Amino acid sequence: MRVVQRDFDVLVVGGGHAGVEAASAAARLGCRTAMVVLDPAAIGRMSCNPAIGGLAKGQLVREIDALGGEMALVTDATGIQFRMLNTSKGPAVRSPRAQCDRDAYNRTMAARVLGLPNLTVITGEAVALRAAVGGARVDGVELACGSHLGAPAVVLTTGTFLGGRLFAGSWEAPGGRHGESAATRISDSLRSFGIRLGRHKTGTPPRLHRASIDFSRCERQPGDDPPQPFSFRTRRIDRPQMCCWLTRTNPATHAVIRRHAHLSPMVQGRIRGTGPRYCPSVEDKVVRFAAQESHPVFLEPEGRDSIEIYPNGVSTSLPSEVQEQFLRTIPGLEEVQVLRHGYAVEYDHIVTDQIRGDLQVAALRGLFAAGQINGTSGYEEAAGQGLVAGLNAARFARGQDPVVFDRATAYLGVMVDDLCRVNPSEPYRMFTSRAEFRLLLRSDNADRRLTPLGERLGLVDAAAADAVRDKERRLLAARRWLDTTRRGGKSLLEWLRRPEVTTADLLAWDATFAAMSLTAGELAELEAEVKYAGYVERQAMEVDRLRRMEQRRIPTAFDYGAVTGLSNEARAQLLQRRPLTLGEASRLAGVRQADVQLLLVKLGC
Amino acid sequence: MLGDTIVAQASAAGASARAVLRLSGPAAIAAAQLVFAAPLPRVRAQVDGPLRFGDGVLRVLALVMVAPASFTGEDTVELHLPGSPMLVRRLLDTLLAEGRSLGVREALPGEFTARACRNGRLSLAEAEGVLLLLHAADTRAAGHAAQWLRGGYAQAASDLRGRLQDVLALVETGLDFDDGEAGAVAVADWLVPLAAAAEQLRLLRASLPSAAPGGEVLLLGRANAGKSSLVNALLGRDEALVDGTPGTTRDLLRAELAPGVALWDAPGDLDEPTVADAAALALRERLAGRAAALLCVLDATAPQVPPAVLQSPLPWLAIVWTKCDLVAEPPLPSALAERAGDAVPVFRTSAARRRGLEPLRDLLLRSGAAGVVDAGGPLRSALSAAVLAIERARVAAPLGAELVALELQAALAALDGIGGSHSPEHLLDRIYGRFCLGK
Repeated sequence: MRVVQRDFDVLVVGGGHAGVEAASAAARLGCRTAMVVLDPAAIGRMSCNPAIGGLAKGQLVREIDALGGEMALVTDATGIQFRMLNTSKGPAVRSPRAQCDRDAYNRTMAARVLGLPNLTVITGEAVALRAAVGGARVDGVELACGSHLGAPAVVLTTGTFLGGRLFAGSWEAPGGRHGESAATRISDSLRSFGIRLGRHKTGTPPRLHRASIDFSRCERQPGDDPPQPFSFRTRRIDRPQMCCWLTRTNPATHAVIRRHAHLSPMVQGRIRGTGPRYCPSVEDKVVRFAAQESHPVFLEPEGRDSIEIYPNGVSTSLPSEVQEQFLRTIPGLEEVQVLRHGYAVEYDHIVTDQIRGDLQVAALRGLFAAGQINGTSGYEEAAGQGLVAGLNAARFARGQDPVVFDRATAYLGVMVDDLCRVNPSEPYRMFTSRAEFRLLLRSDNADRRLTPLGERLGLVDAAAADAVRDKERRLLAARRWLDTTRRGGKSLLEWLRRPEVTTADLLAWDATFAAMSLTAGELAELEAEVKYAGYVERQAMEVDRLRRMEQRRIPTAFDYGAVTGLSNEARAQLLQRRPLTLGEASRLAGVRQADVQLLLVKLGC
Repeated sequence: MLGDTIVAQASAAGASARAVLRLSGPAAIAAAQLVFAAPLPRVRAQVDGPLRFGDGVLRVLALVMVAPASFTGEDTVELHLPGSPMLVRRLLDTLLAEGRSLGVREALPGEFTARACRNGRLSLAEAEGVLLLLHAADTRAAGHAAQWLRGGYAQAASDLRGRLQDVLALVETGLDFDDGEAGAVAVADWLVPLAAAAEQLRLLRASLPSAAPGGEVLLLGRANAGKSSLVNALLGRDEALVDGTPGTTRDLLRAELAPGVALWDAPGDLDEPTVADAAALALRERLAGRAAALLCVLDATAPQVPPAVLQSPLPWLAIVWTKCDLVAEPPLPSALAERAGDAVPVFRTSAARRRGLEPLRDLLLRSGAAGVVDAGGPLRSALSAAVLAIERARVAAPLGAELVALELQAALAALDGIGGSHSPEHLLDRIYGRFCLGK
């Protein structure tokens, strides 16, 4: 065996959204980092939808940005349409979303990664994990060419490539993505360390030829004017925006799909993995919601000069000729030409009860995992975990304590905690309703929540940290001004408390306030603080309670049998999972408030 | 809390020569006037007069004490009446119903004492002594509450949770999916089911039995199961009219076994009740709320369990087989065994042969020593917290659905102790069950 002796602190396997953030975080922390990829040109490639953000996901991207990550900056640099979603609802549930130029995003991200100091990109296929002699501790990976890369910490970000298999109609083949081969041997390596794997499924729609679509039969969906940037570090976006289009399926579409549903590999039972309910294939929608006569289809340009259109809403693994047939029943698509057909992909993931709060895999010290390998879906979820895993891999390599985000600090914390707590039965997607403290975890204040911590950890530079301090000052000054300036017997702050009054009204009423020229994000933050007054304090009190409970440790030898009154379900869960803290215990499925109270009494709190 | 007017029986529970109902608070005199025919003065006085109640011939004594010269330090009226528990209860019900507009409500255990203490009429140490006794009863009540949950109550609570989760699922769908994914979810879509759930919650809370003296025990069983014979046998005298024809007991009879220990012999469930029977059964339902526990009476020759037994919210004191001299005792009907669990003792008796009565009598005497039992207490506070949270949710509706969701989470957390639990996974299951989501 040829051994290439190259010393790294952190090895990242994979160059997708998780791999990029993991490698970037480790490199920012000054670790000698290597990224092992099958194809360097594919770094940061968007496998599916050419969009970043969306409800709850937008919050994640802002959090990654607040900790110095890459995703938001590259989105701002390559976005072709920006929208703030849920603007008719409260500030806590508003999220940014952007359509990106797929090729530009991929190119820009690859160039950024290749240019990062401390980072080496290595082309090759990782086929096995190497453990140190005599210990359940990782010490590197073995490549298909036979060479061995040594590092005390390894981050796996294999996406759909881990044991990937593609399906469309009766066709099926191994593969990680259209035209790219799968990583099959690493699954066996994981199993050999006793790591249990599960199987998930996802899918992607066909891609359409732009010139073959009659857009006059579709509804225009323009972007926001002016667009709000994703990154706290982007001042403004001046590029002209592109338009998306909306059309709908109809009974004729559904009839075609129903007639051929038996040809779907899902229906035939050839795909065993569980697919996401929030992103069903079109055949799933038609079969499960038979009463619904129409489903929306969003026609999204894949780029400024791209000839491809991504039809969002018709993910499918029906045979290719059926795909064409049903598409042509949809208004605007009567003459459509399909450039690439939709397919389903099935892949391996680690059963997440083996993952810890720092995204380390319990069975093998020094092994971290992020993204779809942890049973999640979505670019943003993957990137968020990439950052957490990269940060902790770097700290592990240096013998530092792990950093675990809590549920009251960040969506990152909610996501990782959820993964450790329940084994998701479907690919995990972030929702704002997963965050019990969502009034506090907003997209507008991610920088104030996380950048100071990022600065302490060494993840963000001084300029970003200064910008947050500057923002704090500006907001304080604005608040003071609104509090002391009166209009019709009431202060402007009191006006803003009224449901029908927004910051836009204040800007129109008061020239001094307008002259402070707060950014859209800062205005949103001001509004949130005023509108949520009272509620925010209540949540803050709960956070306090949570943190106290979170910290209450349960002795490892704690005798649950001696606690009379525990429900059987709770006792079984507690015995099986052996939570370290009362906080962890309280979130186990089957453990009720009453059970937690009993434990509290027994622990002598 | 201390500003309203409260009423409760102030004399020892059970039958005695005289019983006292005490009203205390700003509307005490006005409320007493609702049931007392003669005018009551606003000075310390003792007035003899007829009750404006029933056929109106009953004369009672009213003691008027004006603040601060009373036990509680508030305006107080005590009604002294013949010691019939039936009469006391009916009078109490009338006062609570008609006095509602005056803000009259039933006193909580220990509330007269708490008011006396608050108004400087009783030292803290003295008050604590009284409250300690009540606390002992509370501990027992908590045990009873757990027992109840095995019954129909847990189902009702879980239905309610389900409805609230449905509302929350609607609210969250509107927040977590944009219009393109879920179609617009309008406020009107969830305000209506929210109002319905709030109403159901209030009804459930109202169905909880109020605090009752520990020795008040209700007998429930099929018609002709031998309840009246059992009462007579336990008393050692014939108080109940006994006959072999089903439905002989068509009124409620209260028989005192010992001071503070009484059996309520209630009509049994008939297959085809007449209108009069139905009225008597309705009365039984109402009075069931005044008992502390029930005895389930089963006929060994015909072991049938009427639904009223399974549905009663009262804690079970025991299961009693009757007529054990006629046949060997059959196994417990499965519905009954499931509802009762292991904690409820089973007795085999024969009234005719006077067999198996002593252990049962011992248990009844012990239960009488328990003081006030508020089996509904822990659940009442959970339901009240949920009612408050829903009220806040409705107030928050114009401010934002995310705030409504927060309050609904609080309501569900309050119900968390009553069986079942809430988690985002449950929520998502409900969302996916109803909407075709996703692009």
